Amino acid sequence: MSIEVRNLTHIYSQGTVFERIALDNVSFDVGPRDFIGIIGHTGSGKSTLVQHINRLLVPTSGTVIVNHIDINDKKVPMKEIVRRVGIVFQYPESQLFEETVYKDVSFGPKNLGYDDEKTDFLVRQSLEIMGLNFEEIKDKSPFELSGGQKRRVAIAGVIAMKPPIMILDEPTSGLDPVGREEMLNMIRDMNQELGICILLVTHSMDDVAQYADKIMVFSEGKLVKYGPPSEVFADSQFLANIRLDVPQSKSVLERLKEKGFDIDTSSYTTKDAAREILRVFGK
Amino acid sequence: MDNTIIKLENVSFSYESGDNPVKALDDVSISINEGEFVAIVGKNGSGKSTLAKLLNALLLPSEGVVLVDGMDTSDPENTIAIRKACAMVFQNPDNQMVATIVEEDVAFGPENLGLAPHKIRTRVDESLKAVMMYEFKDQKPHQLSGGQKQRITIAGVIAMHPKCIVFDESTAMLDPAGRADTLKIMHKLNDEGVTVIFITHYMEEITDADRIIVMGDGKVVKEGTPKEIFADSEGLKKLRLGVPEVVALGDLLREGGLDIPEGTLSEEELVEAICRLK
Repeated sequence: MSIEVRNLTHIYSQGTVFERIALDNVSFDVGPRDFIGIIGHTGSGKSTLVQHINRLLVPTSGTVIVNHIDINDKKVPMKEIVRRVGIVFQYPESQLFEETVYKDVSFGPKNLGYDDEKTDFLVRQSLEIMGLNFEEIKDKSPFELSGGQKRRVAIAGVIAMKPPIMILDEPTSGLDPVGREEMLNMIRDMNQELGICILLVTHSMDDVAQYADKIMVFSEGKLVKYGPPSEVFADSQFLANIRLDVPQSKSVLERLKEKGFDIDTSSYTTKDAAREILRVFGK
Repeated sequence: MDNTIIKLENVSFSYESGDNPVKALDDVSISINEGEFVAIVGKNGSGKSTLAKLLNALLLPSEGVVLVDGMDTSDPENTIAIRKACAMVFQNPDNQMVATIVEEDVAFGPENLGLAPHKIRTRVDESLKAVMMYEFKDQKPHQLSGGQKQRITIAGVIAMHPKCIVFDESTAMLDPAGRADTLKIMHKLNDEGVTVIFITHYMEEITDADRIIVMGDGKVVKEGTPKEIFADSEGLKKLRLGVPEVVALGDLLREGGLDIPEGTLSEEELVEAICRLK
């Protein structure tokens, strides 16, 4: 399942005094099993973009092709799109609504017309991927769970529809540091074990540095950079100019180079940066 | 001279939840001095936000006493004076704005204090300048970025001239630049004498705090300077917390045989420490 976006432009309130270009001629391809990080300052167009991938927004101009299907073709029913692209919004726990966890997670697969047996399998599998014990949690009310558990249940509800593409908008916000790491590891499992293509929208440079295969950088509605982390973090001045930053480890390497160390500044993860500094000292 | 501004004495708090109440805070005693910059960290559900709400009488303790600027929060006569002394800035600026024009939003608080119009004008201007948003005074809040909106909510709080401001995850929804701006303003206010209490999940943001209080399961489990707190990566991990990336990098270098002092917290310090080894 791949995504091809061509010349996508989205203008809010076109023809009024409030007219604003949110996306400006954006084109890119995403491969079937990619893990893509999407970064950009507030208002850069990230959220507008992801809402186009499952037709929550319709382009002002341009096309969005998901696995060879033009998703804005009126003949394609919404159900076919929902089947392909799952979206997890910010604070998804606010969208829980059922009496029990089981009912909540099974809502999606049932709507897609799956029978009880298949639905049961999907609910079980999704909860387990999110690190929740099926037997313990299935009959609980979503509202008696902790914040972190609620969020996992909400995401399980999207996984249960088995979308080959999943979009997650700031899934780690509000979680404690270890909760953040657990969530990112679960997302990595969805990508590596279930083969789900991931689009992760985040403000955290560290998260995309550690987890994404490729990073899209948005600024003022334009896709200004798209490549592997090594390439995107290579130019810290460029990122600073568009209100972003680089991981601290990367910044330490750059400062050392300025101080005259003969050091390779291309590492962007903590471990690789440590290895490079130790190498310089012959350790 | 006693310059304590916040004092919690053996405070417990329980949320009603069906038949069995949930204890969110369990026998907590904390004392914060005027002018301090105190960070509060802890895993989800550790009681941080409950603690914050107790500091300006949004919640009242089930047991124990909370004193704000010497006033007992459980006395309803004190509530207004307490909220004037100790203000709060929350996570989502959109939930905290009340007016359709920036300067009107900032004026909302001072107007409610019943100040004379020219005094309100002065306070609004001063506050907007303090957060570097004066030139946006005639704009509509919805046209601003998240970071700019958060600065406006802070201006609204400053305009009340509080002695103490509690920031409850106020940087969580902002992009890196918005987060840096907000942090800078918090330190500037603190330099001018305002007591700052900052609740956050981002360890990088609190390396300059005077003191860090670590919460776990409704109790204070640790208290100390950033250097003391971040010296124990393993212990923090057990509490579902972490260390700033610079500290993690320093730890790896030390394990690899470089003599990096414990308590190296900022990029500058780490770079200097490495340069000294050259």
